[in-house]
Amino acid sequence: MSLKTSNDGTTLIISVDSARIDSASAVTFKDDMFNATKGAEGRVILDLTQVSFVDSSGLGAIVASMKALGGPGKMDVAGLSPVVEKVFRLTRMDSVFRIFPDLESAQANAVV
Amino acid sequence: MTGCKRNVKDMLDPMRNSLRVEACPSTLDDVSRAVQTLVGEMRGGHVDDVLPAVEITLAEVLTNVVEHGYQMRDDGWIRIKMHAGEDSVWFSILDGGIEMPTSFSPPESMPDLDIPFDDLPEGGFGWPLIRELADKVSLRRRNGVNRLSLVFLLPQAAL
Repeated sequence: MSLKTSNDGTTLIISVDSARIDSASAVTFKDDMFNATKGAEGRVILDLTQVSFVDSSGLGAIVASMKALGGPGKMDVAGLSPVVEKVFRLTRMDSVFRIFPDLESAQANAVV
Repeated sequence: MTGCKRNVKDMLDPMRNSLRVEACPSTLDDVSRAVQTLVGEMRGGHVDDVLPAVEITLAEVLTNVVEHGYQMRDDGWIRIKMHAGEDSVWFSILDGGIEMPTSFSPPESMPDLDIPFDDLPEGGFGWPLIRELADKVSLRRRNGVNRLSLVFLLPQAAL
């Protein structure tokens, strides 16, 4: 699972460079997210623009990654494809995460 | 016991309306590839509107079979039949994995999220997603074979 990170001092942006977070890749994704967010104190934006598919295992790994940050509202998600958005909506995880249409709008809305 | 003929596939008929696949997924990578192949074969026809629901559902179902039915053994088989009619897409998915324990009934509803942050669920979404996305779901077991039937209704053609 390839993650690209950038940090502007207040926000850690993690872009997933992979088309799927599914049962085959969920464990690796979770491990990589733990490493990528280690020591992160500020806001994290998980950029899913490149991800076209997430299943329940992938969603669970995203939730686990957010929980590892230690508190609600620390991780936002951006760039959900229609299928990924459907999974968030049906599981009601759209009420747990702040969801932005793309990375730019997530960066423009910094206020928690 | 049915042996598995690895990679034996009779793919879509010329009308793209039916599909029979016998697969031997023993890892979750196999599941991922099988789902992508199946959905890829179906794409480009009159069923495109339900493919997101089909893809999520197949991923959940096949992951369950490999993880729980066969408990990650490497000698499992899965037979999938698909038929696309005018109004619906129908799947029959057979496997020889263990029976679902009687103590477990597939949850009907999504995990509760109105709970403390640290208790937010990281699993338990699979069966509720299957029930939510497929219009009909039925699961039977006969002679050691699990048979799951799924129906996805196509949206009314906008004529």
